[in-house]
Order: sequence, then structure tokens, then C-alpha cells
Amino acid sequence: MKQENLFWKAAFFSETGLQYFSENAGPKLAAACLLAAAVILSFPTDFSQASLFQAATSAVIVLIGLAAAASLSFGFAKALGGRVSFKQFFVSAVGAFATSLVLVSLPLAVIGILAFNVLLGDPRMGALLFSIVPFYNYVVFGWACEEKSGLKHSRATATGVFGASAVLAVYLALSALIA
Amino acid sequence: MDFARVAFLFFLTWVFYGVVRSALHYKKKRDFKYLLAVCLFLLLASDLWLRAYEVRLQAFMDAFRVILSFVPVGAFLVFNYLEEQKLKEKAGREKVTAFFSRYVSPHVVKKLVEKGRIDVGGKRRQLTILFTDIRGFTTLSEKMQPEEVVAFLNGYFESSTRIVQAREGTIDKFIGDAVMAVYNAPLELKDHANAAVLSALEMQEDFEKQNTEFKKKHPGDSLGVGIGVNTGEAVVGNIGSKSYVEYTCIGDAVNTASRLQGKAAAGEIVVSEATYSLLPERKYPPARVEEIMVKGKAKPLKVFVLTVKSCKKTLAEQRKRK
Repeated sequence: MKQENLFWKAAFFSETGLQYFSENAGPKLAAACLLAAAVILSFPTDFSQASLFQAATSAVIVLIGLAAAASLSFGFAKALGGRVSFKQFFVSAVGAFATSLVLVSLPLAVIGILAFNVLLGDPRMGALLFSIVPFYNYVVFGWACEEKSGLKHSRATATGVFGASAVLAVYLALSALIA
Repeated sequence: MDFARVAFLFFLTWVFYGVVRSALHYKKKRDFKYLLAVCLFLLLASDLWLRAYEVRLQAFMDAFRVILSFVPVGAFLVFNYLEEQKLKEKAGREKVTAFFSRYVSPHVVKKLVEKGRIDVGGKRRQLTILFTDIRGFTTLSEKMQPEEVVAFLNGYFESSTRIVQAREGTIDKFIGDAVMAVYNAPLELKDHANAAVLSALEMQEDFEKQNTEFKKKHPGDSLGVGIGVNTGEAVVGNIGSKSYVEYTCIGDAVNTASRLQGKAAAGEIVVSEATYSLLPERKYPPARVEEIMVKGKAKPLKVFVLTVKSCKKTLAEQRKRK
């Protein structure tokens, strides 16, 4: 089986999937992943209050924030003694994150809206579901950071936790801005 | 957003990270302590998460909080059980692969694994059995250095194995300088008789090349292979003791194939009537047809003696196909 077909596995914690991003790391792939993440995360959930300006601002924040989170995590890994190229680390982390958004968050959002809001007419369960999905994305990002940190044992785990926290910080910044 | 809520979200993220990290460690190492860690992290994560959202879903939570807390752990344990089953299945497949790769080609092993179930307990089925023997090798080997004998035999077995396996046959065993191969087991082979006879012809042709090399080193000496092929019912499966088991076949058809090989002169393939009747018409013109007496049979057997020369056309066709 060709490796090109397996990049989607990165969304499900597969090292093979992560390998694809690492091997094909470059500005184009990084830009594509950042853009995908920005578009999905800045997509308005409440259309009654949505505006193009707000969506564009959110997208820019996500772009900058995500790039900053990946860069900071790289710095953290380096500070702990990790031997890894910035390009590979950055694209792997952002790529895994974007893949998890496209393959996990997006389908769950659609299912949530359809199942709870439209069919059952009760958005509460949908809200409950949405509340947990972002954690999956944080963890995927953290895991990718850990895997690509070039570190072992507790130092690698620390990089993973730092990565997950960094991306959570981006989410919080985005929520604060929208609020 | 107050500090307590932010701190809580960070803590929840770390707990979720703990769940995934332990689960990935467990998947890799299958160590119980990681399984325990997954369950504890999951329980903590579920409880924290449900507490965080209880205001939104107060009534729903009150009734089901305890159950909901355990749902992720239950789901994980079920998932883990399924994963264990998958691993067991994989181990079984690897066992089959390792066992049969001694006898058949990787292509056949793959087919067997895909098929899933293989009858190895001993089953009666129609087989075509092929026996070969190098004529005069025992006498000649006394003149040769042991290393030379081993090198020659290894080369001969190597090419024989390649030819048999290429035709989806099974190498049953090597007996001294003899080769026993079986067709139509463990994998069903529609044209087993044809595959066996073609293998025999290719073996004869291949041996000619080896013989040319041999003659260069041993001027005046010459070697040849005699081959016997028979088709009939035999019991095939894993036969042996608990500590040593072999995938082989036994029965009168096997003995007859061996006896036919004994009647074949160097360069000849003695094919029984049972095998010959299954071959495509006019594809294998015999050098001669005769009736012979073999040990253990009251009546003479009609046999077809094939040679590379008599089946030149068929061999050329096969070469073209390759």
C-alpha cells in the first residue's frame, strides 16, 4: 500500500500517518494544513450572529495562533534537548491537527447538528458532544509534538502536554475574541 | 473567562492526554499497568467532564452520572477486548504463514491465509504426487568432496523448490537426493496433474543445465534425473507427534508415484494413466507407452514415458507465456 494514502491515519494516532507529513514537510503542505484548520475553526456555529469580518478575524487568529503553538512547542522540545528539524516538527503537528479537524471534528459536528438539533430538536446533547471534541484535537496536536520531538520518556511526554496546552491556549484566545 | 475555568480546561486536557498516552503505550507494550492507567485516566476525565457540564444538563446528569462516568471505561474495555481478538487472529495467521512457508510459495501462503481455514487434521483428497531421484548420485558422491556434494544438492533442491512452488505445488520432503512434491494440497489446484507434469518437464530441462556444469568439473561422469508422477486419493494433513509434526500425505497413490520414479531412467518422466488422463489432449506426446509391473500391484500398470524432447513444443509454449 502506498504511504500517500495513509496520511489520514494521523488523525487516529498512527505513526504511519504522521510519517507522511514528516516526509513531505514543506511550505505548501504547512500552508494547506494551516488554512484547513483556520477555515474549520473560524466557521461560525451561530449563524444569527455571524459576520464575514468576524470569521476572517478568527481565521487569522487561528492561523497565527496555531503557527505560534507549533513553533513554541518546537522551542520547548529543543530546550529539552530534542533533535528534530523545525520543518518536520511544524508540518507534522499542524498536519495531524488539521487531519483530526477534517476527519473527526467536522463529521461529528455534522452528525451532532443533524441528530440533536434537527432530528431531536434538543441542542443540549449536541453541545455536550461538541464540548469534548476539541479535547481530541488538542491531544492529537500534543501527540504529534511528542512523536516528532526527537525525545524519549518523560521529556517527550512533557513536550506532548505542552503542545496540547499551547493549542488549548489558541482555542481560549479565539473564544475570548468571539465573546 | 475566569481563572478557575481556564485552569480546569488545562487540567482536563492533560487528563485526556494521559488517557491517549497510556492507551498508546498499552497498545505497543501490552503491559497491564498501562491498561490500569487508561481506565483511571478515563474515569477521571469522564467525571471531570460531566461535572463541568452538569449545569447544562442537570436533570440528565442526576439520573445517569455514575453510569455515564463508567461508559468510557466500558467502551475502552470492549474496544480492548476486540483488539486482543484481532491480535490473536493475527498471531494465528502468522503461525500458518510460518508453518506453510516451509512447503509452499509465498504466493500460496498468502492465498491460504486469505482463505482463513485450512484442513490440516488429515483429509482424503485427490492429489498428484511427484517423485524425483538423481540417477547414480550415490555412487558419484563417494568420489566427491562432502562440501561439493552439499553444494550440488543445495543447488538442485533450490531449483526444484522454485519450479514446484512456481506451479503452486507443495514440497513435501527431501529424501537423500530425492524430492517429493504434492499438488492440490493444502491449496486446491484445478489442473494439479498438468501442473505436476509441467514441473517435472521443467525440472528435467533445468537439470540438464546443472549436468553441463557438473560434466565440466567431472569429465567422463554424467548425472540424470528420473521422475515418477501419479494421481490418486491420499490422506493429507499434519502427521506426526506432539513435538514433531509434518504436513505430508500418505496412501497407495503416494507409494505408486514412488515406484514409478524407480522405473524412470535418467531424463525420463514416468506418468501413470490416472495422471495422463487428466492432462490436456495432445499437449504431452509420450516418447513411448508401456505396461510395467510395480511392487505391490498384481496387474501391470499402463504408463506414459515423457521426455523433454517429446514435449518440446509444450515447453516452448510455456517459455513464451513466461
